This record gives sequence, structure tokens and C-alpha cells, in this order.
Amino acid sequence: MLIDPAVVVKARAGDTAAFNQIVQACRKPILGTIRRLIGNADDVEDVAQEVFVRVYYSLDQLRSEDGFEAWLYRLTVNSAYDYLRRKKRRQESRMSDLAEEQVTLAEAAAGAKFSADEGRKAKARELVESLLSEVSEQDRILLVLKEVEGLSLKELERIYEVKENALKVRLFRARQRVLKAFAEKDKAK
Amino acid sequence: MNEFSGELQQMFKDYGDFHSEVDSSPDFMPRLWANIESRRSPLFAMQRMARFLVAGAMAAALIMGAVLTPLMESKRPAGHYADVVARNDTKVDQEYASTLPLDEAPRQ
Repeated sequence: MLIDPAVVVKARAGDTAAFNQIVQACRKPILGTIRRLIGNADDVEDVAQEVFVRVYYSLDQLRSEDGFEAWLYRLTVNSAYDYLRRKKRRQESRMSDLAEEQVTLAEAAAGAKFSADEGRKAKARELVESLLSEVSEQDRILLVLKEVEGLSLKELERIYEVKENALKVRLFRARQRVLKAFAEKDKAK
Repeated sequence: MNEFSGELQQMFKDYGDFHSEVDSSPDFMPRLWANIESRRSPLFAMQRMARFLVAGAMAAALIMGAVLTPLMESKRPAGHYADVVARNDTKVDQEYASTLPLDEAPRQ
């Protein structure tokens, strides 16, 4: 996702073609990130729409064109966080989410030749989704960005706009909570 | 498992790989522009309303100023403040004194 700073400058000046160019270039990676952040395929596009509307209306607040990607990540994380909080407020039960995941897995298992590797990955996906549902929205987002997206601490520092040490502490605690949830699941087996 | 490594890290990586291919529907861009426009409209309406309210408030202030200033001028007592107070005090003193019996007149 490399955006030419000149395109960002043009979009900031109100050039709709430049804005379209940004959306076209960033859409796919942003959709993937949102999918991993929220864990719900049905609402990915709605959250992505929200992200790009925010981009359109906040471009003038971008301090430097060079920081566009970190800024876009920040808007994505904020939109995903808002979505997760709204979802929590609606009190969608975890059981129904789990059931949905199981249905997807069952469909995948029935419709395709399920190799051993695919089966292992599907189980891993189910477990990770279940572990992420056990922690807070903040922990979930941080863990997805670090462990799934593979962002470095430096990149996270630019997104969160906090010091690296503070991030390390947050990350350590989030990992501890996931480990605890993992141990509990292991014990329950 | 005491550390966040090995198996757990691999599982998170697999989770990412599984969701790596996500694409939008063909109407993504039209929907996006519709969303942008729909948000722009209330914003413009609010700005128009704010401008209208400011203009209304200024007009009302001018009208009130034009109407009330002459009225306040006519009710304003003539002369300096000290003169007006002295005149009022004398009037009150005279009224007060006229109600008192002669033998109980206030001491000088």
C-alpha cells in the first residue's frame, strides 16, 4: 500500500480523482485489516466505508503526507474500535458468533476437500477468534495489529501516538490475558 | 505455555493468512460517494442554519437598540448623578419630617 505523497496532496486540495486513486489503492489491504480486526465478514464493507468517509472529511487534518499510511491505519483502528464497541452495546452474544463461525467451518468442510493442513488452519482460526473474543476491544486490536498484521513497535508507535515503552506494557498485558484465556481453554478440554 | 510464542504465534499468523483475501462489492465506490454526500448535506444545512441564526441575532440586536435607546433616553433623569441624589434625598427628608410630631423631631 504505497501512496504517492503528491496524490495525497491533490486529494487534500479537493481533487476527487486523487481521492478515488487513494481508495482504489488502499481498499483491499484496508478491507483485510478490518476483517482481521473485527472478525465479522458481514460488516467489513460498512466499516471500510466509514474509514474512507473519515479519510475524505479529515484529510485536511493530516499533518504530513509522508505519515499518510500510519494515519490511515489510525482511522481504520478507530473505526474498527467504534464498531466493536457498538457491537458490544448491542449485546450480540458470543454464542451466536461462535455458532456463525462453526457454520462457516462446517460449510467449508462440507464443500471442499479438506486437507490436513487446511483443517489445522481452520482450527487455529477458530481458536484465535475465540481467544480474541475473550479480551477487550483494545487488546484485540493491539494483538491483531502486532501478531496478525505483523506491525513493528515503531509502526504501532506512529499509529497509537504513544511511546514505545507504553506500547510494550500494553502488549505484554494483552498477551498475558490471551495466554490466560488459552490456558483456561486448554484446561477445559 | 508461559510465553506468547511458538504455537500461539503460528496460530495468529494462520489467522491472518486465512483472511488475507478480502475484496469489496462492485458498488463500493458509488456507495462511498453516496455516504460522503449524505454527510455533506446535513453539514451544509447546519452551516446554513448557523449563518441564518447569526444574521437573525444581529438584526434583532439592531432593532432592539433602535427601539429601546430613545425610550431609555426619555426615562433618564436630567442632571448629574450627585444632583439627582441630593434632590431625591431632600424630597424624602421633607416627606419624612412632615410625618413626625414636633416634640419628637430628630436631634441635630
